[in-house]
Amino acid sequence: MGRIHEAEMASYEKHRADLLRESHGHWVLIKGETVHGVFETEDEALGAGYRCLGDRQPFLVRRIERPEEEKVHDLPWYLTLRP
Amino acid sequence: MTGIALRALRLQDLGPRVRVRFSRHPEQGYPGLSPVEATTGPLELVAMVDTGSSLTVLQPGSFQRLGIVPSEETWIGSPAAQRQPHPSYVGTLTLAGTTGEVSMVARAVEIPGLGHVDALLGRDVLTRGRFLYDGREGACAMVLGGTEIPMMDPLEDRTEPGRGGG
Repeated sequence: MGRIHEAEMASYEKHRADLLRESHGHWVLIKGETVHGVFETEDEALGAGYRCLGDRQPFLVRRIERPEEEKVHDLPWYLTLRP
Repeated sequence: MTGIALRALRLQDLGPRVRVRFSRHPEQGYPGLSPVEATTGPLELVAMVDTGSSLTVLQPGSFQRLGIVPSEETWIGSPAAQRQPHPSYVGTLTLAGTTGEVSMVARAVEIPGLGHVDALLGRDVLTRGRFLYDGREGACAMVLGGTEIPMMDPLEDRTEPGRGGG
């Protein structure tokens, strides 16, 4: 299975240093190789994405973080993750 | 093994439950899905509050019914499994409070095995308010967005869970 938003994630990594310097903790909207904007909240970024890009083409909304800040979510023990 | 499985089910059955709605983002239109393929209305869900989960979890298939595609891969792990990337989705979570509705953007994953509930509300939701557990009384109280969210009666059975509003 292909990774989700492979192109957008590559673009995020490409621009991450600049984004961190200018907008650490904010939310970035990316489609393909294009950074469409940076927003204070996830809600604002999502709204802009749907308004500007529509919902037929997936886009990436991601919090601008340092690699070591990226969270690993934990789930209860009784839920089975795929192998 | 049977005892462990039964105990797990009881934990979920007796946990603090609330009725919630999960829907698409207000700005999201209608993706290229036919009405048969997608439930366009919100999903009415019975959710259990679980402080052991750091994010919201829904039953598999929920987001397809809403026409929501994965927004990114989120790293998740559990005491029984190594961390791994998992598709995550973003939608609108709405809870009915005593003085009005509370809506919020919620990121969620789909994981099987929720038992008799449709969803888990994790710490991502609880960070937006206050959740109190009174062990002596065996009661819970939740306040989000300044309004109290009524908990379901522990003995209340779920009726038509996971139904869509489309």
